[in-house]
Amino acid sequence: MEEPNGTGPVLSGGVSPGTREKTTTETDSLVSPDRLWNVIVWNDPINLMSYVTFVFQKLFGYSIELATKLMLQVHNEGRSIVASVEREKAEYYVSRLHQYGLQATLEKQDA
Amino acid sequence: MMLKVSRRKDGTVAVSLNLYEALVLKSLPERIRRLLTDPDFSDRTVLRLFPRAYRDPAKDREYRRLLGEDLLRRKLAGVEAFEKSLRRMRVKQLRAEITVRAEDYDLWLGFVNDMRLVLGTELEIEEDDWSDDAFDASHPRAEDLALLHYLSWLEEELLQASGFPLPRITPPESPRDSGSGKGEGPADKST
Repeated sequence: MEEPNGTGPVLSGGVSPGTREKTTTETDSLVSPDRLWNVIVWNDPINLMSYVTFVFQKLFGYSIELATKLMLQVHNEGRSIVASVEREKAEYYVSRLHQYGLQATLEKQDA
Repeated sequence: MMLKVSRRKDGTVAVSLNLYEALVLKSLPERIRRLLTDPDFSDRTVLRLFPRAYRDPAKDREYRRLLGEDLLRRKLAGVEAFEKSLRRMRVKQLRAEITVRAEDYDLWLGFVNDMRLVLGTELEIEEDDWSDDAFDASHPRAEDLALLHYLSWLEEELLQASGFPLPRITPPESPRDSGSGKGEGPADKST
């Protein structure tokens, strides 16, 4: 089991880039309010470093420094945890990352 | 004359290029639309445009059931936005100018990137295939390979007009990275 990245960013509650798409139910967050899900971006040989950095800034509102750091982590280590949020939000981020053409998955953070 | 991309004061982005290049771009929407019409999810290239979200197959199936349509719609919206702008391009002598509306920027950029993903997947691009020195004009798919390089350049230029800062890549760590230290330009490395 891959360990979550200790220095991975946790998205603060106040940041909500873009308009949220209609999601399914709200109950997930009620069932396990303390359970965070990691949004993971995976390396691929086609996407440009500059593009990935742009997406991280645009989607998450990250600074150029943080976006670059995460991008380099993807590039050098094969993957990076780019956000740790409740499940519904994690699914939303993954779907947006897919729209941008990045490979992204979500997985429950280790307890 | 070179490809030139610039952001105007009104937020639109002007893409100025040779007419021939513009006509090549004009032929691209059909390529993606064909893949997206009745998408074949056993096709590797289609799968690259619709990656999985969960490692667990059952969870992933459910995810695709709920969000697959949205992704497909988004990809098609990109095709449409790109197509529309190409139809409206202004031509003077052998130069063309395409205007990307501010609200279409992400879709347009996304389309160019999707086209790169399609080409890259079909060509089975590996991490080390990006050096310009290695370009082989006698490659059986040289045209698509050259197109991929061209679209990479176009994408880099578009990103410079994004309004967002670009990463400043530190000096090369390995021989493989040499030459792309500045992090800009058509030879920029993929991640």
